[in-house]
Amino acid sequence: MVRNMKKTISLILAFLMLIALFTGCSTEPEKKEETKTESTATTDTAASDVTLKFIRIGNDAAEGDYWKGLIDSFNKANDGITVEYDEAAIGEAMETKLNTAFAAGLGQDIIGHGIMSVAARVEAGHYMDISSYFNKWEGKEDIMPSVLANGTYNGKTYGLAYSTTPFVFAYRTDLFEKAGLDPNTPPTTWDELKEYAIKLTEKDGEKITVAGFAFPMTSGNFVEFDIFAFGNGSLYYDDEGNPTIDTPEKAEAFEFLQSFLPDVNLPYNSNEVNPFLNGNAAMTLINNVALTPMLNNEEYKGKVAIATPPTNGTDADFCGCNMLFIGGNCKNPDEAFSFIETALTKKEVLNRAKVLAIPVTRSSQVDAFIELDPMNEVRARCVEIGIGMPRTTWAASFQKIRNEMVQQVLYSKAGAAEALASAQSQLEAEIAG
Amino acid sequence: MRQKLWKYVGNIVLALGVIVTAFPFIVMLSVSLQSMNEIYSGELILIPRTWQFKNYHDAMTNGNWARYILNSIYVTGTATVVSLFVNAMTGYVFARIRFPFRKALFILVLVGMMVPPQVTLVPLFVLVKNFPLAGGNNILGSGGTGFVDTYFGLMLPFLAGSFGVFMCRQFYVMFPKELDEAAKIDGCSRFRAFISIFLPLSKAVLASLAVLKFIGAWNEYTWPLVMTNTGSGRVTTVQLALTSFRNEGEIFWNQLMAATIVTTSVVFVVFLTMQKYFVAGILAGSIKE
Repeated sequence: MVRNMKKTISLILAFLMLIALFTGCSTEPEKKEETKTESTATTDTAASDVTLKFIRIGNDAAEGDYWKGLIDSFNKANDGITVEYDEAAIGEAMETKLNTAFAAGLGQDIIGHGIMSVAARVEAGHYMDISSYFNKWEGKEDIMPSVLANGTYNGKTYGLAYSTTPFVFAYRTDLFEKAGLDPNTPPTTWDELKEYAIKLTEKDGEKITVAGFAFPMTSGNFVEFDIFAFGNGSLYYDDEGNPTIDTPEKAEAFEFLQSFLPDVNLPYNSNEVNPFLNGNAAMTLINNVALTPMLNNEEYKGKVAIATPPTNGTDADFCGCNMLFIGGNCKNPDEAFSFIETALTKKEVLNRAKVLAIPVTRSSQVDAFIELDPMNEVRARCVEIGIGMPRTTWAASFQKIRNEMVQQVLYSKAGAAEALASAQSQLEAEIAG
Repeated sequence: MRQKLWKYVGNIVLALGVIVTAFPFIVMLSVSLQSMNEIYSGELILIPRTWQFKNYHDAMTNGNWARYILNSIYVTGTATVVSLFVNAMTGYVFARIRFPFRKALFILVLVGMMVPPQVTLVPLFVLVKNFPLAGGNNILGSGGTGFVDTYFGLMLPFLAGSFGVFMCRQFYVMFPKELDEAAKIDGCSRFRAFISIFLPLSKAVLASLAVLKFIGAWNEYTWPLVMTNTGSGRVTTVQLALTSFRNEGEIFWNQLMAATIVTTSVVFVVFLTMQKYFVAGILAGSIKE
């Protein structure tokens, strides 16, 4: 009798566990079906309580506090809508968190993420097409075209930028004066850059002690080379979306860099600090955020200035960007977009510029941004002419191949033409699968 | 003379070993007391020019660190204690009790050791999220969030563990059959025999396992990352919080190292306090009286 009862209980428990298991495994497809039908019918949910899960890339306290404050005021101002804040560190952490959540059918409703995520996550169904919302948005005409481009894919809008991180051309005014150069006229062309770099380089015998121009040897993402390619009129891909690594413009950029870098550079790798930041370089290309500690350092007060990168005819720069996306599984896109609208109002764009020193993304706010700090004129210009990483499914492969290529040409002294052709065919082979 | 020489050589080798082992900790301590300018100078500085004790204050006020540390202690401590009991009991069952499919089930346990955690991450997350009647879920496990963003959800994967079961099973299998027979003659049930006889004799294996479990749970990063809402910080653990000392362009190495020193100190204190038990436990199995 007792044995039979034990058997029955065991069977029931096993059955319940199996049901739980199958329910768990089948959650995601169910939610996808729901999304399809509910994305067009949100009026009912608007009347009831709606909870939106928001995750942003990066977990530094300053930006975290900003978002918590914004969410708090949004929640108070919008009865029935609650935004829950979450964050993940830059890099693998964010990808792991998103992938796990989406795989389990718990995908976030609003996602703050970077350019490299666009193509892959759109293809995976993790980002929703927000073109219809964007077309009705009051800021549509005001958002900088260069910034807007980062959130588009195959002609549709998926993300709207809330933060940009342009690269700036930074230089030491005191070292300019020491070398007899006018600190108010930084180099604007490649020829000037080369001439200035040679003049600014300080040597002890053959050893360079102060680099005229600091350029990385390895990097997480070799965008410094891209800036030269952009400045010479070459982009990541053509109008059809095909990669354009092997172009005469890029070959010319390599030749230019090869012609003077060995004589003026203190190359640094991805684990080292840019020598410009520790006072051992006169000029460099650097992420705007990475330059902040130096600008705040009393030792360098008034000795550091910024400009747009020198070019060879085309005004262009690299500019990173984080955007707000609506999750592919979001059941309440109206409410989610309402939060995005709140985060991207003119007031909030300028508020982020004040609180977090993030360049503005709306053209109408540029003047107010410049009033905050004269250097912001350059930052705003860098955003305006900024180009982000490729929005393609092959962006990650491109990044790896490009980095290897730049190292081969600039530091292993490989021929530029061969390296470009090899990188192009390698990437095309990877795309072809 | 030769013996003395070898002794000196041995001591030198040991001293070198100590230096190599301790060096990263010395650098960590030094960086935690340096200014960012010193860190950016590009030189290896072991003694900071100005001792920046405020780095510790800045680090500990960058988020709710008291909570993160308590969360980690609670999750790690509970998971370690419970998992030791579960592992010991399961190991005992596999080693001492004959039942149908015992070998097949044990092979299944071993398979658990061979599957990398990255592979089981999503299925485990789905199971925890869809746990019936938890976190607003219905009996079928849907409708709520299950054990996501809860202490129990954080502990769950550490409560069992193939390696612990395997280790305990291998330990219990060495005991003589007569021990079971004596317990049976004295009227002990299986459970009583486990609690009163086998468990007290398991100090050696449990001490070693406790160290491994504690370090494993304390250092775990990926599971808390996907399981918790770091934004609220309610169940955030120290390993997650340590990633917050960077932004888009900069890593605040001095604060990061300061926070690492503090979190490492917690483990250090635990081991200093428990050291004699660990050593006694490990020695208990090796000395015959």
